[in-house]
Amino acid sequence: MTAPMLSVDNLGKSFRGLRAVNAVTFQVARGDIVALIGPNGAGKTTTFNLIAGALPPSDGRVLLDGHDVTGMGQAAICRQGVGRTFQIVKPFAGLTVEENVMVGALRHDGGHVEKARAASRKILDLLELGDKATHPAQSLTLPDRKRLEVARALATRPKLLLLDEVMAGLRPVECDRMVAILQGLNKESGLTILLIEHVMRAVMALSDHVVVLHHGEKIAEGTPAEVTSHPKVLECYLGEEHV
Amino acid sequence: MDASFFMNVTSAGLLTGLVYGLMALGLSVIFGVMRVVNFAHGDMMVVAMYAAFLMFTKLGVEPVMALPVVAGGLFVLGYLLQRFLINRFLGVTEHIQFLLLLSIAIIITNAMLMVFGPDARNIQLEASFESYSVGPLILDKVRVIAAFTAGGVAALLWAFFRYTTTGTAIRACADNPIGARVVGLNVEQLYAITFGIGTACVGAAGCLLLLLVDVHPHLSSDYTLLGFIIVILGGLGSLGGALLGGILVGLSEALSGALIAPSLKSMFSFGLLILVLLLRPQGILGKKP
Amino acid sequence: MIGSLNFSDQSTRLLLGLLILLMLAPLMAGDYMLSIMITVLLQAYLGMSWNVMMGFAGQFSLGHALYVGLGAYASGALFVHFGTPPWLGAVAGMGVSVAFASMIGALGFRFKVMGVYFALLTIAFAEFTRVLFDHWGWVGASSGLFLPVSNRSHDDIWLLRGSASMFYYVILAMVAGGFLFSRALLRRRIGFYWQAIRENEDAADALGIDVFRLKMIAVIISAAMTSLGGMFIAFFNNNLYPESIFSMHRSIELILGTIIGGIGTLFGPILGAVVLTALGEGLTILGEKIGIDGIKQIAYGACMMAILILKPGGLWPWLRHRLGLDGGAK
Repeated sequence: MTAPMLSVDNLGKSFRGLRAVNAVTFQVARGDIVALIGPNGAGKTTTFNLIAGALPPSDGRVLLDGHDVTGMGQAAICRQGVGRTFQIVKPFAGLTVEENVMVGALRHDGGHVEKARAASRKILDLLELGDKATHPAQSLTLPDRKRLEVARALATRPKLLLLDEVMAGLRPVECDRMVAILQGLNKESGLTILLIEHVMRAVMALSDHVVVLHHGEKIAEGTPAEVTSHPKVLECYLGEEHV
Repeated sequence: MDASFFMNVTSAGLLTGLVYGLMALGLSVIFGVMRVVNFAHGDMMVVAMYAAFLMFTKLGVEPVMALPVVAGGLFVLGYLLQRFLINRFLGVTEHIQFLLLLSIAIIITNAMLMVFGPDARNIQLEASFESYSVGPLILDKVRVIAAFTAGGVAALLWAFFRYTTTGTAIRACADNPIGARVVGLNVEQLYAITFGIGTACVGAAGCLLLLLVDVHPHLSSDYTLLGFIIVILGGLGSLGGALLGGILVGLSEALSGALIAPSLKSMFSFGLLILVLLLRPQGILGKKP
Repeated sequence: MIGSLNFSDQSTRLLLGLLILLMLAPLMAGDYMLSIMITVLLQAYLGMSWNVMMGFAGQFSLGHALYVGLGAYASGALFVHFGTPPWLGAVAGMGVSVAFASMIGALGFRFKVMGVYFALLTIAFAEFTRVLFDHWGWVGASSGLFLPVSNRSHDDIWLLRGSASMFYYVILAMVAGGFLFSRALLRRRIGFYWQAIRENEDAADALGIDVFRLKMIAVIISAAMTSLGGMFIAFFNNNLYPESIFSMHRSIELILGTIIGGIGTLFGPILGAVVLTALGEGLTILGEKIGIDGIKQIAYGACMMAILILKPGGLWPWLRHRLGLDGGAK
């Protein structure tokens, strides 16, 4: 039996006594696409930051491919094969689109700049940013900046990709394109993906498995169909609308 | 080294420190509200010192009496600078802001050099030669006057921020400029007033410092640095912190000057700064960011 | 930007042309002109050194006079006391500077002292060291260190004793070397990583970059380059005072040209040095004509302010655009 790609075990985080994430446990199997959903303030992004190493967890463990990576720090975890995007995009504004992606790609091929450039071009073409490669990153629109986030993370050649709301702000057509791109990556290169998403259309289309967080705790998980009919999930979403 | 000498030095350092604190308050207020680091702080102080010097030599007005006028004048200077120049540079990167304030500093210092020349000037009041004896302590009269006036001005400033509508509005701007704009506050106007208040503090401190030291144009960069040390020691944006930092620096200067060597006193201040930056970067009284 | 096709051709051509012109300059220039050109090149060199740390990696230092002073004093004192050749002394100076830079960097970055606070930390170390040197007898304390000036008939480049034109060629070589070195850094992986850190440290971290290590490298390289400039100053001026060599004014002067010329660019430090020196000299002449003494510095401040208001990104990015070199020479 091989270990799952990602195993989150009893993960918790407190901010000055406020419990943002509590005893969250779930797994992401190799080659799966898993969605992390939940209402605003459910602790999704915090969970993400704990997995990616941007924040040290207060308790619990994160295992990547069977190895304990808990508290290793963002850069080290990236080097272990985890690529991430930021919900609030963080482009290198003064660099060109291509250079942004190259920064991610330079970890490979011995840091050879021209090889990194070529690799970046391919990724940019894949994400339909190829024609904007030489534009300064600060000139991009928000949807393009979201794509750039994905491109940059992909350039580090991750085995696990963490996507934080990359569909937000995309038009339905663009959203479908992104879904298709991610599906393609998953099918062709076997990339494992964990994503936070509010756009249910994308969640339903993409994910093999869905984990639902509410008030920092896992309240349900299962296939998209199972989860959307789960009474607790309905309660937390509908309940929220009724307030 | 007897005890009374030590106590005299300590009390003199403490009193001077209060004036330093008032000077640093100006820097702290400006940074706390606008995140602008005023690198022309010491230069504005020197302007105030010369203004007080002229008031005394030409009109016979003593510095403490001249203080409201000089502080008012510097308020106007600060207000106009912020309104018409510095405001364009809010939100740009730090080094550009730094350079802008630096260019203002260069202009001010050299204007002072042109007008007053490089020589040190001082004033002699009757009080300059008097002192109070409290038990074994001997306190210079001018130092006591300067320290108490500085404390008074600081108290006024505190009351202004605490109890007036404008003061409250400025605090709101400091907390959340966008929110302040949303609720209809005139942020530009408030920023200009804040800068004016900051420079007025320096103006007041300059008048008082003239009682204690000689003035010459090249004092400016020393006092700019001193201001930074104090403000960082106490915590940027904290009023009490600025006064506390001022007293600490006053004490460290006085003690190291008297016990070790006067020329080493700035080394101790910088040593203090390095320690605080590393151990408690938010300053002694500052809040964690 | 960095990435376009004509990069190497255009900037190399520009540099070569400039270099040939500058190589011939001492044949035509008089003493006054030569001394001004040395001033310009020295400022350009020091600006480049600072640019590695601030322009490339985004770490704001306002205390670079520290490394100038350490380089100057190490090579100067070793020469005075032991007759050590300046180039060996410079290696010692670089060693000391690197030690200081590592300490400041390690403390600052580990304790998360950032932006203006980091700049103040660098000032504090520079001032601290200045006072220390003021009281250190072996290097002459506050009364200064003087290098023996012997009248030599020939230029001795190994001992750096000789004519102004020898110093001119030395500093010209240093500028050319500094330029090529900066360009090599900027075009390699390390340059990309630095710029990523400069633009957004968190995102750089998320891409697996060892931010701490790269910032340390930037600080160390910058300090070593700067201290070599210090060695030049020691042997060119023949006298050293802590008061002036470590002063905050020197730290400020050192960065002005680069900011005016264009921070983070390769030509910015050179252009800035030329513009500022020309401005300074021009204003001095003008001041003498008008007969008002202090007007020079005031006008200097005003011009600086004007450049900041009109071209906050620096003159080189603007000039590059005007010359149609966009996408070419950085």
